[in-house]
Amino acid sequence: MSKCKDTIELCSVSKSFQVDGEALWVFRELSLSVPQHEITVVLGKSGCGKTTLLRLIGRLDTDYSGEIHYPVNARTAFVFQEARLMPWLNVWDNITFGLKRREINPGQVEELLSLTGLSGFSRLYPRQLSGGMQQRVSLARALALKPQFLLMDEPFAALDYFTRSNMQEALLNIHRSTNCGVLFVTHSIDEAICLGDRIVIIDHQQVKKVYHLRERAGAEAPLSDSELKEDILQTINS
Amino acid sequence: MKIYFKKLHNVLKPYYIFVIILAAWIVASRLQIWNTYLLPTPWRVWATFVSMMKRGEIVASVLMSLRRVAAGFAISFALAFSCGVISAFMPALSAYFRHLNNFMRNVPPLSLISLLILWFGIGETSKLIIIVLASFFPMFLNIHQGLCECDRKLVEVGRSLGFSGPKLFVRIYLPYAREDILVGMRTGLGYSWRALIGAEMFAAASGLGYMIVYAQQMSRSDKVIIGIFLIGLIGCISDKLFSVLIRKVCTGGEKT
Repeated sequence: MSKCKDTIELCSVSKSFQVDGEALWVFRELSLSVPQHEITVVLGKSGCGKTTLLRLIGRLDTDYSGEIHYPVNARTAFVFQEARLMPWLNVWDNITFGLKRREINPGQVEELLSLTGLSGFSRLYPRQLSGGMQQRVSLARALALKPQFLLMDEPFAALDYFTRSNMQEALLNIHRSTNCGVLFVTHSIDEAICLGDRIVIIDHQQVKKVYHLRERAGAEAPLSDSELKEDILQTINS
Repeated sequence: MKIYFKKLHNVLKPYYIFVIILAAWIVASRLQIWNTYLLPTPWRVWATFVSMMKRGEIVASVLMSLRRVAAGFAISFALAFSCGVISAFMPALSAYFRHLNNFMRNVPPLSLISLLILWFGIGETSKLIIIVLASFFPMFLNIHQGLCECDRKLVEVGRSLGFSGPKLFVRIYLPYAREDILVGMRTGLGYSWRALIGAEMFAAASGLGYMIVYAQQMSRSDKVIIGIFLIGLIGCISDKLFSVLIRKVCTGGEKT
C-alpha cells in the first residue's frame, strides 16, 4: 500500500455510517496528503468527521472505500482525547505498554519521561496522577513506539488553560526533537494556529481549504494571527 | 499512650465478640445450665482437641478435606474460565446455554448427592462433582462479567498499538477482569468448602464432614464443636488469603 516516500496519501476516500437503514456520508471522495516532518492540524465543526478521519488513518476503522497509502514501514501512534492509560500499570509500564520486551530501552524511557516532564513519577499509578500528567503519559506511550506519524485526537481538549499551554509547548518541542509527522485534530482555532504548519479545514464531506502556515511566514504580506483566525472562521462558516 | 491503646482497640475490635461468647460459654458451663451432652464444657472440648491433635486425627481429616477442595476447585476453575471466555467472546453460542445455566445455578449441588452416590458410589468422583457444581457458577459468572465489561476504549488502545486477538486478551482483557476473576474465585472457594463438608457428611469415610457426622453418631458433641470450629477457621484463613491476594494484585498492595 506504499506509494509516497514520506507522506500519508488519502485518495478518494469515502466513508459512511448506516443510520436507520440509510447511509450517512462522512466523506465522499476525500483526498488529502499528510506529510512527515510537519504538524498538520485538522479543523472543522463538530461532527464533520475529524475523528473519523484520524481513525481511518490510524487503521482503527477499516470500513471505507478509496485508498490510503502509507510510506514504507510507516509506524503510526495514536493519542486519544482521554489518556486511556491501563489502570493496573504504573507510569513506566504504561509508557512501554506497546513495546515488545526486547524493544524496551530504559535509557529511552528515561528520556521520554524527561521530555514529557514526568521524571520521578515513573512508579506512580494513573489514579495518582492529575489529568495533565495522565495525558503526558499517553503522549509518552505513543512516542515510545518511535512513530513516523503521531495521530492526535483533541488530546488537550479536557485540560485547563495552563496545562493545555504547557502540553502544546511540550508537543512542539517533541516535534522539533523527533521530527515525526503530527496529524492533530482540534476544534480550537487558536490551538490550530499555535501548533500547525498546515491547517486543513474539513466541511461537507470534503477538504474545504488548506492553509500553509510555514509558507505564510515567507510570504510578502503575511496574515497576522488574528486575520488568519478571522479567515479560518469565515471558511468554516461559509 | 492513648493513641497506642486506640490503635490496639481498633485491631482487637473484631475479636471482642469471641471473648464474650467464650465467657458466656464458661459461665453457662460453670452454672451447669445445660446438660454437658448438649453443650460440652470448654475445657472438655480443649482436652479432646489436644488428644485428637496428638493422635493426628485432626490433621488427617483437614488434609483430606483440603485435598478434595484443591482438586475440585482446580477442575472447576479450569472449566469456569474456559466457559467464561467462550461465553464472553461468543455471545451467539452462549445464548444456547442460557436457560441450562439458570437451571443448574438454581439447583443446590447437595440435592444431587443421592443420584451421584448411585452413579459414582461414595468414592472421590461424587465429591469432586459436588465441589465443581458448587463453585463453577460464581466463578463462571464473574469471569464472564469481568471480560464483558472490559473498557472498549482500552481495547482500542491495544488495537492502535497493533495488538492481535490473543495479545489483546492477555494484555488488556485479562488484567482488566482480574479483580472480578479473583472475587469469583474467592466466592467459589467458599462455596466449594461448604459443599464439600455437606458431601462428606453424606458420602465419605474421611474428612472433616465425616468427622462431624461420626462424632454425632458416637454422641461426641465435643468433637462436633471441634469440627465446626475447624471448618470456620479454615474458611476464614482461605478467605483472608484471597482478600490479601486481591488487594496485592489489584492495587499493588496499597490499601484503597
